[in-house]
Amino acid sequence: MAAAAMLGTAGAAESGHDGADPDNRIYLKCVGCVLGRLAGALASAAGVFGTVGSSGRGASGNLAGMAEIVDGGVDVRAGLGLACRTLERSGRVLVRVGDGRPVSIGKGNNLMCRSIGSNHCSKNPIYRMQRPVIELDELPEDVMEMVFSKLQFNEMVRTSVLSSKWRHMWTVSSKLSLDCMTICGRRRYFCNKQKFTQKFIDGVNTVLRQLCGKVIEEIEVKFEFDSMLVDHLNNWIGFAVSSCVKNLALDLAPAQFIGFKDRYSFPIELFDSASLSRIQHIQLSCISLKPCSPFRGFPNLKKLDLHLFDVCGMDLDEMLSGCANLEWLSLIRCCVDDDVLKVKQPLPHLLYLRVAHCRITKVELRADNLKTFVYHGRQLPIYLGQVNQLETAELRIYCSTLEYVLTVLPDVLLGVQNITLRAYLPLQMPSLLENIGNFSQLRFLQLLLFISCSETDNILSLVSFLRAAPMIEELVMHFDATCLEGVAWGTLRSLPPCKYNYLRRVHITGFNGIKGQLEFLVHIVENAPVLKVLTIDPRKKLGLCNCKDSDFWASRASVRRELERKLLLGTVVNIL
Amino acid sequence: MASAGSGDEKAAAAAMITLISSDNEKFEVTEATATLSQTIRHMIEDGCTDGGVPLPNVTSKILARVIEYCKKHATAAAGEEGSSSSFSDAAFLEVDRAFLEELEEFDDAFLEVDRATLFDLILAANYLDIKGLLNLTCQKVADSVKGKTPEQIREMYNIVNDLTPEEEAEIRRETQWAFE
Repeated sequence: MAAAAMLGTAGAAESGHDGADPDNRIYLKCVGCVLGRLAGALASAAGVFGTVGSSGRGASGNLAGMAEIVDGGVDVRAGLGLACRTLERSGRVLVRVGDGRPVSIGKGNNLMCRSIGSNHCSKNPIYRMQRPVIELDELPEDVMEMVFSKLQFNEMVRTSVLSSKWRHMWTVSSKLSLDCMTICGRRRYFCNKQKFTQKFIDGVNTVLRQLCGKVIEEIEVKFEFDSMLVDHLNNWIGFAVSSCVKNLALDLAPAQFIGFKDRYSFPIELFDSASLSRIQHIQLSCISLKPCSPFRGFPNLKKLDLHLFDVCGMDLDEMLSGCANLEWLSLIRCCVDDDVLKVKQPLPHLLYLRVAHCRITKVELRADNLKTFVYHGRQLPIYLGQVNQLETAELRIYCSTLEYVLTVLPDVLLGVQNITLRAYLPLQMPSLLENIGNFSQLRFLQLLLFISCSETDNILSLVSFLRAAPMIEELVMHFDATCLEGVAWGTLRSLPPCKYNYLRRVHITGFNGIKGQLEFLVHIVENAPVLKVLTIDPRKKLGLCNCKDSDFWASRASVRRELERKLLLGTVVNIL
Repeated sequence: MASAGSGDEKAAAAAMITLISSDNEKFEVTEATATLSQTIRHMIEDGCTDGGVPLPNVTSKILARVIEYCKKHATAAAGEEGSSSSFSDAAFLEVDRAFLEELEEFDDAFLEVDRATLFDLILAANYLDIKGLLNLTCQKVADSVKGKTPEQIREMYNIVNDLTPEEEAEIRRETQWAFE
């Protein structure tokens, strides 16, 4: 029984961590299931009948429990026979592994047990059996589910014509992915959208009829929205609700979604409180939400992915405030009708937040445990709470300024360790900014900067980034500076020294060798006492580059010349 | 029962585990290799590996291959940990890429087995709870079915078509869209 407990829960114990990875989840589920069955069979073999797999994994036990069974004073012959029969009924796991053929059993014969230690854990069973050849359809159901999960939906359904055994085998799949490729065989209609849509509707309805009454954990529908779909979508969501769906994805965005105004109004009223609390992941695209009565959210929702989603700000606030367990939230191209993304209740479990291209003027929520923040859009007031654990911020800000980035953002991104910033920041003077904030935990900074021709002289002012990050260890800069060679350098200017005592690595691309860049580089080299690796790449990683390799010779030579005698001994310099 | 105390943890780096196949062959592997199997990982955590881990469902032939896989991928995992700093230096990326390519080649070569061995590997991976191996082997099976007609699949996997022509026609009618 110890073995049963251990095996039965071995898979389940892990599943909590990786809930977000669908493959893993299915996999763990099937392992738990197989092991549970195996354990069940072992328990019956020993003549022990109890609640299999219900004890915690803390209970001792190992695979050597097999040995105990044999030694346990039970009639071995009957015991193993029972095991095989049990498995024949419950899924073919052990019958095949332990050989489905009749086995003559007895100590010292085909099945024997020999104890090699006093510890009960370390008994050593020996099975010598001839193995029959296994066929594909004899693999355990859980394994078949995994195989099916790797097929396209239509390929999976096609297996139903193989034989009577195969007819319904594909329905073990608890994941349903319906898109035009799988149902209609191509990605887009050519001329007749109506006919194409009708074909999709008929295909999905046929599939759902065959799956009626089954538990489907994951349903994904991906098809360009058309008003013809509305009633059917309502039915399919009704099906999802009755199939105990946990993950629902409804992607109705057309290929050309810019300017596409139609939205499917999500029928939240089809969900009762049980189905609302079952939902863990939702992905919606090209959908609007207009609840008739205040909608209080999904209490167990972990992941919410909204794209082209139209909602009234108050409803969004109500909905998100009711998703207290939310861990992952993404809003892309969402339209909030009073322009404020505000959540009044704290979201203490939120680890990931992405807001991109949304028509809003303000972000205001409290996610004190946030780890990752991604923002693409105009510069606007952002409040995230006391995000002292913030690890990563990926920002792409339009219409921004150096002042905003270095004075406002440090107070928004408290505790941030890694920043990637892509922006056009007008550089007005080759001097340091005053009153900058402090990214006190920042270790890694990646800047993707567009520099216009008139500002290349002021690149030195970017040193303010380093002053705002006293703990910085690594700096990566990708320049897209439009001015190329031919700039007269004159005397390089410098700023007052300031030591960057932790800066170990610097990597710069798009280094044209223009004056501002050289000044910036020299400042770093002179002020980074522990610099280990310096990599300078004249080629651009950002923006277009029409240069030939020979164009870079001059800038490489100028870098070498400037760095001579300024470098510390321990620094490795790569000039690419 | 959990006897894995702090003393054990210190020794864990170099600890060896003995795996015993169904035909009683013993395989010594490092703990890092063995713990790619969640099943064995839990046994180690519960302190039940003294005297070896009997694996009555896995023959020595299959176990040897499974261990070969685990060794390779355990090294890969260790390598990743070693270079998992935030440094995005070109040289590091180059090394990572070369390593991943090598691993992919290994996986491809590893899957060059007959069907019976493939199924045995699947069962072993399932039983030992080795996620990567199960994924890999199931993918191989799925790939072998892709793009094949039902007749080809039947032939490939010895599936006897016991459907009457009427039944088969009915199924094809129901799932016509899937055949287009």
